[in-house]
Amino acid sequence: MRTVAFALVLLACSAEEPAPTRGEGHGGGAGYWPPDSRTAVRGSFAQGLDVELDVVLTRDRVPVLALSPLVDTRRCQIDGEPVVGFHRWDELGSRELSGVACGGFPEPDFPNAVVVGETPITLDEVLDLLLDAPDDITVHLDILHEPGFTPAPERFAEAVLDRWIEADRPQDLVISGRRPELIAAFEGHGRERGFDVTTLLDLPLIEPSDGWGSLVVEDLGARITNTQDYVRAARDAGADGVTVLADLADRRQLEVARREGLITSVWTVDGEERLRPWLDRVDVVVTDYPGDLP
Amino acid sequence: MIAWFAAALAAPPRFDRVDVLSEAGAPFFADDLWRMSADPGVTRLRFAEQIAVVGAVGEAQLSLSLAAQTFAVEHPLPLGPLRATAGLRTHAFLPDGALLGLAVRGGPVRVGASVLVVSDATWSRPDWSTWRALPALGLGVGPAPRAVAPWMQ
Repeated sequence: MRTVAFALVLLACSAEEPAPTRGEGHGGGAGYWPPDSRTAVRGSFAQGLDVELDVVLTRDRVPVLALSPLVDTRRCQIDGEPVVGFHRWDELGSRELSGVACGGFPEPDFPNAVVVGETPITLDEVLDLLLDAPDDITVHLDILHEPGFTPAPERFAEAVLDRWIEADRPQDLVISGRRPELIAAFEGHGRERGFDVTTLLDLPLIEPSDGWGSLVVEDLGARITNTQDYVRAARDAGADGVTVLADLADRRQLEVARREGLITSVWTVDGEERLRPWLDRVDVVVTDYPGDLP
Repeated sequence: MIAWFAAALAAPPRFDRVDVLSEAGAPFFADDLWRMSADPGVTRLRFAEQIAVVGAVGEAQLSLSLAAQTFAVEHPLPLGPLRATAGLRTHAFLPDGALLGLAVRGGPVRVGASVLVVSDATWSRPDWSTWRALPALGLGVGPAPRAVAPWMQ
């Protein structure tokens, strides 16, 4: 009996402590700077903050940071004119980006953020700015791929990974996306190039037409039928982890996924009261205010 | 055992109670209650998921909620008002745990305290390799048992 107790104590002592929760600045830190902007990338790199940046492709397959596959009618102008109707980023060539300006007015959700309007920043510029950034930060690129609406996942994988591999930066790269085919494209292209890319599956799968009500109903359906399983979802997609909408995230499922060796992340969590319960329970919290993390 | 089953089956099925706090729904306290101040809407929904309707046939009980379905037996102990409870918990009818505890009834109110041992098995990944033990508190309300004259028992 004593031997068993001793073994249990040894086992408990040898259990590896999970690493503390990291914070990633959503859009670079939308609480401080305009999201997915040059100013945000410069500011967060200067502060040594990890970043979560959203990536779209132009018509000529240049990765650009943007909040949505559509040019934001509220935040952006093209050639000095307001954006009217739907304009996809992949309808614009990279040379036309100089005519696009986004931001430049206070964001109601982020009253203390720097107000600046500027042209979109490309991934190539991000890679240049990484030369002066600390080596130990993580660059998390959330790929805004939408079937039938944006270029195919393989185009994203080639455009993003080829640039990253050729730039050969020391920082860590993490790729996330909502669909298994996107994860497969990045994992496959990484293998072809001999590069082990870390991938996270975004959960739940949010369709462009989904509102909050339909997300809650879908979540409830998966919970009632006992089919919600983050580990299975990540493994089926071939992803290294999951990044889950915090409002609907199942904390137990995240604990199980972490214990199974998957990377766990929740998004987007703002405010100390909302951050606190996630600390040390998940690997990463995506937040508009990464400076709030201890 | 056979006699007990025969007696149980001979009894008419009845509505027993509604568990506002269900012992099989104990994971709510461990996994969801913490987010009440941050996400009150989602927390209320998760609370509603664990509210259970309980039917009984003799000492056998079937508890149904969105979060869990439990087959349990509640047997009076020889001394005092306490009743022993033992049950098998399922989630979407996938067996994923068991509970053992005590309950007491006073008029229409039933209070129970159990230990729930529950696994992380899901229909997507039926894996019973990991378990956790949770304290479980039950609070139910149902029709008060009818007063029975001693000579009728």
